[in-house]
Amino acid sequence: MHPYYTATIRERRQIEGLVWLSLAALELARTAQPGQYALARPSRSLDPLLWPVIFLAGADPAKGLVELLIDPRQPATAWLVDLPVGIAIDLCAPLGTPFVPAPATQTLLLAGAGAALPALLFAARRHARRLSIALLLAGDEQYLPPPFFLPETVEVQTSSAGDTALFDLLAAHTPSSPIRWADQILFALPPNLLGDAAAAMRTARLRWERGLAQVVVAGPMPCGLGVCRACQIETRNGWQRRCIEGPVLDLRDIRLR
Amino acid sequence: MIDLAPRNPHTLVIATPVIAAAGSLGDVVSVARWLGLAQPAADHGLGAIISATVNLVGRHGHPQLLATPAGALYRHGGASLGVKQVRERLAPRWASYHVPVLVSIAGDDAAAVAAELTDTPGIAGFELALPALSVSEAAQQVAAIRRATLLPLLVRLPGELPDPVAIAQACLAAGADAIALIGGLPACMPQDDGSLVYGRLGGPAIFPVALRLVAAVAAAVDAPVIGMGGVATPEHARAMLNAGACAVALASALVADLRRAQAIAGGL
Repeated sequence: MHPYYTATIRERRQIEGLVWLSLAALELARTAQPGQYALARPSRSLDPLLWPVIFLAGADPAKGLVELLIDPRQPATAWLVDLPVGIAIDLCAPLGTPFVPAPATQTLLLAGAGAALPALLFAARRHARRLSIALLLAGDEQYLPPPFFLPETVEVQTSSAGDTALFDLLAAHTPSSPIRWADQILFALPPNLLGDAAAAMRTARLRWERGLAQVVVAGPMPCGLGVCRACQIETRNGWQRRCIEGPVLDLRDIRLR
Repeated sequence: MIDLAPRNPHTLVIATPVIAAAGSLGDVVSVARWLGLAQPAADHGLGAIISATVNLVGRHGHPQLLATPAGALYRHGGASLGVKQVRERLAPRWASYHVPVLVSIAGDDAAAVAAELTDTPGIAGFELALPALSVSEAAQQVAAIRRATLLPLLVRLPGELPDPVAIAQACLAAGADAIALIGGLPACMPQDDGSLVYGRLGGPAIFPVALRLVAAVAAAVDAPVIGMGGVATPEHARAMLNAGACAVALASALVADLRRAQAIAGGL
């Protein structure tokens, strides 16, 4: 049994600077969960030899569709932007451990910036019926996912002042910080912002228990199957491979330097 | 069936001429379920598997794998499995697989690792990764490994040797059963911040260089030669076999796609 699929592009939309693709992939749509990712490559091609990482932005098991949100500024995935409807691409997916809210969770804060942002959209759409969800997104103007992707019940705040503006949205030092409101938090961040996220948690909650704050850690995962070890991250449980033991990790467990 | 160690009493018989090169399947256990290695009739296409490098003491290291045009740059970063980990956790699993697993060894403790693991069930042989050495240094290293183990011994040569034929002949004379080449070429790539990562280049980009060296060595030695370096398609494999190799080893192509061995074995 291999985690490989050939998926056909069913729909393509340009949304400001981003490109949204809906792909027909029946079995993948059934099994994919928020936080998981795909490795993607043009069908029948050996270049690029290494498949780039794309976090899944959604999956509809009933329709057999999975969704990708492509930022054309990322060189590794820019080739996806120009593909027309009807073209097939190879996917190795769904990979990695997903984010699963705790049974007791009622309020969920999703906050992120960077390449893993689509994972938050997926989580918001998958869990909006059961949970009260706030979604905070930061990035560059024209490259933030539009709120119309999301159910109306999801409260969305965005900042187009760059990735670090996320921590202004979190307002960790204020009594009304969404970090205090949430039963559970899922960040989506590049590795260089993990320390800022931990600092925001400490400021807002002083101490927090394991499971409260999880993070989808972006970054290269060249093989996706735990072979090359190029994605190792140091945690309290030792060095872990983001590609199979993540990319969703407990923020408390990550050793920050 | 192909015997990669016809002069060794232990023999190393492989069912297909496609081998997973050292580390291309990591510790092997991580991907065993995807490939069905424990199933007798699995169609993974692999005739043998070479593990990631094993040292006396394992290290997590900081390996890097960067995309290059038609290839990949691998920086070893000091990562390795440890003897204890192999003996207690990995080899017992390898023993249940229906494909032979060889242990990759390298560096100063290669002979000690071979001596420690030579009687471990689940290990079918060793592959010694040689750096760029002189003929006499290479022969000494191989002889030291041969003194430590009687199991089949493959020697992997790097792509930057000035005289790979002489080195291959010296390795065989010192006790190697087969020669594998090439184990990549030295190269570097810039990271996003402009700093350079030094490592070894693999992938289809180096295939023409590898094919030339494989043809030269295969014509000069009377022992099995394993062609590697950029093999990613049945056409690549066929060219290696036509050049005198008796098998091919997949490295970056297998890291990128576990189905590659099956596609090549099926396409030959």
